[in-house]
Amino acid sequence: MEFRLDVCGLPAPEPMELILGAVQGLKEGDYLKAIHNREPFPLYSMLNDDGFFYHTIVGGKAGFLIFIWRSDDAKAELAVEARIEQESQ
Amino acid sequence: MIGQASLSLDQAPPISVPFRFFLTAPLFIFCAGLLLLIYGQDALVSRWSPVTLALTHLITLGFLASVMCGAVMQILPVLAGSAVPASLWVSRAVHLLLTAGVILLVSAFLFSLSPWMGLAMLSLGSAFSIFVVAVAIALWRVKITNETVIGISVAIAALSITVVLGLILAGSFIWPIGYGYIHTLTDSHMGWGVLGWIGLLVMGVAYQVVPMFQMTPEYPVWMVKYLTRSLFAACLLWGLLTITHSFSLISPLWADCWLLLMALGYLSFAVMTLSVQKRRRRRLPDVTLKFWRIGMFSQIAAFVLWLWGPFWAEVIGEQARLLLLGGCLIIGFALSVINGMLYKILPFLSWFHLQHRSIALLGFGCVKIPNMKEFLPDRLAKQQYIFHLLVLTLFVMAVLLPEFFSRPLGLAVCLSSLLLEYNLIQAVVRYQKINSEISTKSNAKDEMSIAEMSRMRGMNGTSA
Repeated sequence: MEFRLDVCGLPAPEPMELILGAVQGLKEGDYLKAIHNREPFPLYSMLNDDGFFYHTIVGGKAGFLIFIWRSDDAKAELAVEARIEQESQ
Repeated sequence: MIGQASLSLDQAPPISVPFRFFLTAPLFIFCAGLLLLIYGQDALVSRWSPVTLALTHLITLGFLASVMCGAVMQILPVLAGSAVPASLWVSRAVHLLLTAGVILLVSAFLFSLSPWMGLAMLSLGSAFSIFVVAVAIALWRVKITNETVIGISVAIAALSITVVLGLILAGSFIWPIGYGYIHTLTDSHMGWGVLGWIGLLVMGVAYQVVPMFQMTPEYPVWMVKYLTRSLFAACLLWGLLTITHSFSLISPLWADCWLLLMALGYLSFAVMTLSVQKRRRRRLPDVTLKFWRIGMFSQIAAFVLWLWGPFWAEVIGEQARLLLLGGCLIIGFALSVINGMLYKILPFLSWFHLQHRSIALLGFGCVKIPNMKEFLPDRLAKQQYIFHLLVLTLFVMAVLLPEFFSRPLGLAVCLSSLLLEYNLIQAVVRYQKINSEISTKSNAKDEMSIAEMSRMRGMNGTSA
């Protein structure tokens, strides 16, 4: 299941706090699609350390789409791959 | 797996990298205040006076360059995803050499000590060489180039030119050269330092940090895309025109006309910053925003003092006009903006490092990380802001009436810098407290794991 979180225009570090909080609730097959107006480089390492994978698409109205899922969740990874393909078409 | 490689906690520069620069920087401003208290009006007689030169370099090298070196090493991983190689060793070497170099340079100015000037050249030359090479490597490794990366790149190039010009000028202290050349070299050194290094770095970083921290709309695309690189190219051409003029090959009017175009570029940045700040989305009181506003208004004031130079020279005298112009750029613009940014950068980096470490060792949410305002309360920053305003007011009065206001200005500078130092120490102490809490919880977690493993081994033994 896709969860959507728009953090555009929030002052730092609120976007990172919200995203880190939101991914904690992801269950098997779930992933988060975060919409951001700048690339959150510091977030990536924190996600990896917390047991999550991510994939960022540059573009779209806001600027960046960040897909996040649990690193041990193959079902969510497949869903994200399909979603990314859809986004890039 | 489609996840990307990211900057791990081990690769990210340790928090001690920027902290060491941030904590020593206000002490140099304090020394500048002491010089004003000791020398009084002699410190504000002319831009060529040794005390004025010592004062200027305490601010530009001691404070501005220190903070900027520390901030660039930390900002590159955050805004561009690329870390400076061997950041801990680079920061230790740059910090030590820069600090020693500033002390040697200021002493050489004050006491006319040629051997100390030689040592200052060696120390500062080494500090900036190490810094420029290390940052250039990090910039080279950046995967996605954005306007901030371009801003930092051109600012680093401008810093290199400023340092080379500064070293030639310092060399002339030992091996004298003609006054005409000194005058041109000094103007070029100041131009490259203020307009190039400081101006372009502030501009490049502003495109990211002003919308990110002050909740403003983004800067217009044309400005973000073209202004920084155009101004750098303009600085190069201005340098060329100045050199050509110094050999009497062209009229000085060419360089002045070109400088007017450049000044309009910087003016447009100042006006645009004030405009986006006026349209910010969250209208909460913010001290950093106030510091930035002072910075932008000072840039406008500097433009007015420069453009209508003959008029102001008649009203307040040429020496006073030049001191005010330099003061508007170095104290009013650069010092205000950098001072204000410290109130965002330091709490943000503290939050980031603690959150990162907490997640890596314990997982998200196991330790409550304070928000940015808890690291550095607004109340403390506001108090220092009032003293900074007092410094600016007294500076203008001291330039006009040095015999009355030089020493009060020195006192205000000392108080403002001490308050800034106190505020930064408060944030660092808060950081260390939470960091210890993370360490304690992590150790307890490790001990529990070991105890659990021992218990399991014991149970296995019994059942066997």
